[in-house]
Amino acid sequence: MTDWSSCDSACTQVSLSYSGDQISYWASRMSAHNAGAWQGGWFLNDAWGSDATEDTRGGEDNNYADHNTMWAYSGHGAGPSNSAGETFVAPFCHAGTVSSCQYDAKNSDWGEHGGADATPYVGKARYLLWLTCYSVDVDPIHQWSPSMHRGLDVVMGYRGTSADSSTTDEVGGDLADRTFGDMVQWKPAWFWAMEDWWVDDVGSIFVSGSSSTDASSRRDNIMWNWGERTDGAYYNWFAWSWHNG
Amino acid sequence: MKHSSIISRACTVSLVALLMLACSTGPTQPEPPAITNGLAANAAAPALRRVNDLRTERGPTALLRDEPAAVNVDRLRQAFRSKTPVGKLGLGVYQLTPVAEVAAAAVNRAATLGIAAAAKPEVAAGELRPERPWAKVAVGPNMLLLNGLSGDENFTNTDLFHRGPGSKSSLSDDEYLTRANAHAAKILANGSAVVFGKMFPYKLRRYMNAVATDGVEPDVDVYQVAVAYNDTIDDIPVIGSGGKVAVHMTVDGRVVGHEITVRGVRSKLAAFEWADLTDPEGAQQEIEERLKQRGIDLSQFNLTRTEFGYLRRGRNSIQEVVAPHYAFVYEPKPGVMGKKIYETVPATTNSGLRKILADDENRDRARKAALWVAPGARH
Repeated sequence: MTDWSSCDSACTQVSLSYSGDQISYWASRMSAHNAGAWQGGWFLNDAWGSDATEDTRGGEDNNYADHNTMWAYSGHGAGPSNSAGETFVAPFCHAGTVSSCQYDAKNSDWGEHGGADATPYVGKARYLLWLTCYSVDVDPIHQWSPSMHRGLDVVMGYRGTSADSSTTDEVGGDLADRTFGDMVQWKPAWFWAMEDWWVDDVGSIFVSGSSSTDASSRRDNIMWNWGERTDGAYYNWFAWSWHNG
Repeated sequence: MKHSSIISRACTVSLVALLMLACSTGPTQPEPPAITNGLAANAAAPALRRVNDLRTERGPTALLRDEPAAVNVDRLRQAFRSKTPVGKLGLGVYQLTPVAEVAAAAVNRAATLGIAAAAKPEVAAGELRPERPWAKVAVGPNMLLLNGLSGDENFTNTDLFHRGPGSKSSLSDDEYLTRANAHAAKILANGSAVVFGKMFPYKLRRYMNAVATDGVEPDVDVYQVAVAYNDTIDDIPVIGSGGKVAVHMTVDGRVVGHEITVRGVRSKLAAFEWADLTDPEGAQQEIEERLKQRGIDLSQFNLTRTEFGYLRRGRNSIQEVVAPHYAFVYEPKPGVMGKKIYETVPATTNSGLRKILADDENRDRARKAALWVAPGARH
């Protein structure tokens, strides 16, 4: 059971039953494939708002979330509108060094290797797995494009709501199996891992590239062992996928 | 029926069932005695809506989605409210066919599927581990995986599965169904314990690609289409993540993958009727009490799906016994930040049968527990 009993009241939400399991199975199978050095993942009882907030904006992402090649999180999420379009928010447990326990994607810059946020600390994250509702929703460009410009390679998540269920607690583990065990690209690996015809969750994936063609190609082909983009490379095309029906 | 008589009969059934679970390796066992106490069953009217009736009504290509599982909850609610059970239920508790030794099976399946006549599995017999229970055959772009614990079969053309080109137009649903039917019938032929004829068209999904730059309308294509079939047992639908066959196709209808989470049933461990059936209201109360114990405030949720059917767990699960369950799905009310909640409960009050089902579920929990590690601590 995962609840908010020890968390900031501003972020108190409905209890979840399987968030800890989702992260646990992901981590265990990452380790089984010797990808443990990559991992970093917390479920709601352990994450702080500042963990994933850009260090140049008062956060500590350089020490925590953005210190990992891949970061996964399971908990609640939402896709509220802001002046730019849709953003992504996730209530974490405590605020930490920032003013809110609620993480907001607009305050983050993942994996940055250039631009103002890269000083004093460059980011390291290339792959994000958000096991939450609305994490790669109908307007992913406005949710994630700031981070995708300069370093972050792939964001995987859900369009609309997702399930808290014993039938979906192994999706992160299945993703690790398929990606690292079978050397499958992120897109087919994620869509296979989260596919559940009874539960009807809608998975989605978001990738960037230097052109329309490049973004589409990266979306369909990028694997865990691809090299990092060069420092200063700025991608302003975005490609994403989901399913209808 | 006197209470002592119910207990006695339930114990007999559970002992028989347990013995069969432990020992049965042969063909289908004889029909065990029903444990109903004969509450006024009226054979003139069917108690449950059968899937084939719905298929006849809607047509053979209709995607029935979760309707077959939903309609019977309403029927059962009505029967319990009126206190006049109507018709024979004919429900059973079944043992699933065992999972074959997959390393050898993978080679045979690869040949059957035309992947390779003499392919060698990546995992040899005896080497399967709990964290990696798959036997794998990969030849060129084709990859076949068989799960040695659950029996799941997954085939993909890795060049095309979720990597194919998009298109502005796609075929009709019926056209994809026709192609998926042909593929599913082919892969479930040749002595498979799974009977495709018992399954019904379940859902169809179109997979979408989009590309855009900031401020530009996305360019959207369909790049893949999948059709899923759902299994039935005694013409009652399977509920849960398992019991499905999914066929994935390119936009122009070429098969690029399939997954089979269906296993056949081998023997009937017990039969039960109205006297041992859980009232849907009681099942809902049991679920809601469970959620309350977990600290979930259901006043923030709407009950959006109620289902009745034979529960099959998903692609990784160890499962030996299949039985009727209720499922309840709750979705957060508008403005509430919450996930969808899926919970199931056995549809029988019989303590002996419940123990069999609990033991079976606990085996799967033990599998998961063996994989579980403490989530990383941040502070």
